[in-house]
Amino acid sequence: MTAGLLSLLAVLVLAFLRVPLAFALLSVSLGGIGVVMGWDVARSLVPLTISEAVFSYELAVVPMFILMGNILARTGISDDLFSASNAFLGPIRGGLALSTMVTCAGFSAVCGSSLATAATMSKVAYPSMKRYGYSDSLAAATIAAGGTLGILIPPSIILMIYGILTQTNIGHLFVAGVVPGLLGLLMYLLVIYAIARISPKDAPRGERTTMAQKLQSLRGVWPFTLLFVLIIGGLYGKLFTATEAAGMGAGLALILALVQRRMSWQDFRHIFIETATTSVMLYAVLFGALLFAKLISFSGLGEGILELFNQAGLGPWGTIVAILVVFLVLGCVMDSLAIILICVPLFVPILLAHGFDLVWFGIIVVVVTEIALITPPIGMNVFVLKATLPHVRLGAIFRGLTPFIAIDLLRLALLVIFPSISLALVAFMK
Amino acid sequence: MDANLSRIRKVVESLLILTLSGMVLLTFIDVIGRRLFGAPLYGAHDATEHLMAIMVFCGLPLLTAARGHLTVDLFDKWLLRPGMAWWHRLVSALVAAVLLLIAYEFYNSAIEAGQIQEISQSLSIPRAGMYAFIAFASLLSAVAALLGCFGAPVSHPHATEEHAK
Repeated sequence: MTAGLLSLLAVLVLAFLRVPLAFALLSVSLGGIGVVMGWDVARSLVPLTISEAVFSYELAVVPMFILMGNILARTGISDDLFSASNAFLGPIRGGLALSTMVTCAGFSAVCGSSLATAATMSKVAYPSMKRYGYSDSLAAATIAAGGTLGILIPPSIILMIYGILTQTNIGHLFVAGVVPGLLGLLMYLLVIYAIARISPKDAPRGERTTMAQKLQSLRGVWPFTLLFVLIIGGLYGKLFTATEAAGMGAGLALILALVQRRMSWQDFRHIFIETATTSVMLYAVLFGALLFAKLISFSGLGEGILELFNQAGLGPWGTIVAILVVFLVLGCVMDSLAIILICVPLFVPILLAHGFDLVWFGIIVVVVTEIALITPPIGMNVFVLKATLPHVRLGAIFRGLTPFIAIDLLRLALLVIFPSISLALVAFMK
Repeated sequence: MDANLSRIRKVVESLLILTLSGMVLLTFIDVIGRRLFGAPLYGAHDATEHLMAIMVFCGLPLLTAARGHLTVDLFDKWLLRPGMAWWHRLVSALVAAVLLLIAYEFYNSAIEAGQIQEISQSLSIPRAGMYAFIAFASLLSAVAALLGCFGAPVSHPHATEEHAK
């Protein structure tokens, strides 16, 4: 256990000292396994772990879903989604912010990245909100909070990585993310509506639209809605595995983009190279995380922590609360992927020992990391907004986010207390 | 030298596009064939796995040379000061050492796979060649990391966190 604990500390220290996470995990895992099991075992595990990951059909889900998201993100779907939701919600008080939130949810459904959602929406929605006199605080906070929906509403990069690390069915994770994602959207909409009622000057009404304009606005959106329904419906109806859904999604997105002439050759080249580079980066950290998971297993650290929790009389639910506190605290200073790569292998044996469902825990972990994206001091979504909207003060964004963080904590509590919110759809699948 | 590097980069980027397109195309045809015509594409899974390995290890030297690996940038304010250049050289050396070890282990695996004539399940693709390719790509990545020891100091605080979430 001591070797495992020291290794965990070493990974954290190296990561904070700007050692690339993949190499912090790989070097510490090699050293740790070398000490615990011997150098020959450590060395032999390197090609074994990498081969298992790289020659895996199931893991091909990662680049293909990223490709689908990148194609759709490049083709201007965000503008179409915003126009459509604005045509329907714009005339309501706070309607532009409500439209922004719905667009964030729709965009994240095809994109899978919170930071990309926040960055895109800051360009699409912020200028409109400012034109209608929305306060900086509400406009920026709406985009930052809406961006967090990107890692829960499927397909989600973080859920894919979690599924690979815990060997949980990625299709089940995606289906489990649907209701909590929609619940998050609904709660955010309620927050905006309440703010618009309490402080109307912060969230004025938008323009009225005719029924013809409303119907016209749906024209650009329906093919992508159909794509989303096909992917999630296909997973739910067991028509596809996650990898097959990813291949179909990427293929259909490409066909849609080409048929609708939304993509040039330059775009095509850029999208494919960007996807491949992101995938390589993710695979590199996965190699490290998978080796690190082996070290945690060999060192008995997970079992040691379980014993400590038991001695402290925490019990199963106390354990869950303790784990969530660790995630929330780390989330304040680290990015979500890093937390998941380092902490998930550590806590999985504990969760399994207490009989918790790993699909449910995956959703909880993602919701916690969503909260981390908008909490100070390191709220990555907030920083992305600050980079794209430099004139908006950081303090104003964080102040605007307070009600969203509060409602997120409430949602987290609901998801922890009522696992069926996440698991009901998965149960129907089974 | 720069022109040659640029040419190599373009070739590798074209390979990345080809492998990724191949993966999508194979999966797409396989699923359509399986679900609509009851005739899956033979060896599609096997081919996809190999294309993925090629894509990952083609991209690794590019990513390493671009210092594009995921980093935590909490203390960038201090760590990116000019006086910390020595630390970044040390980090590059660590990265190179790990990559060299990977290259060496895959070189050994390639020799072993050649001796036992290890092949993939459905398409009988010799694994020795793939392992040798991974060893070579890891070696190239190690060289790219080593060049980082002597190159310009790290100066891009946002690195690749954008891709992470």
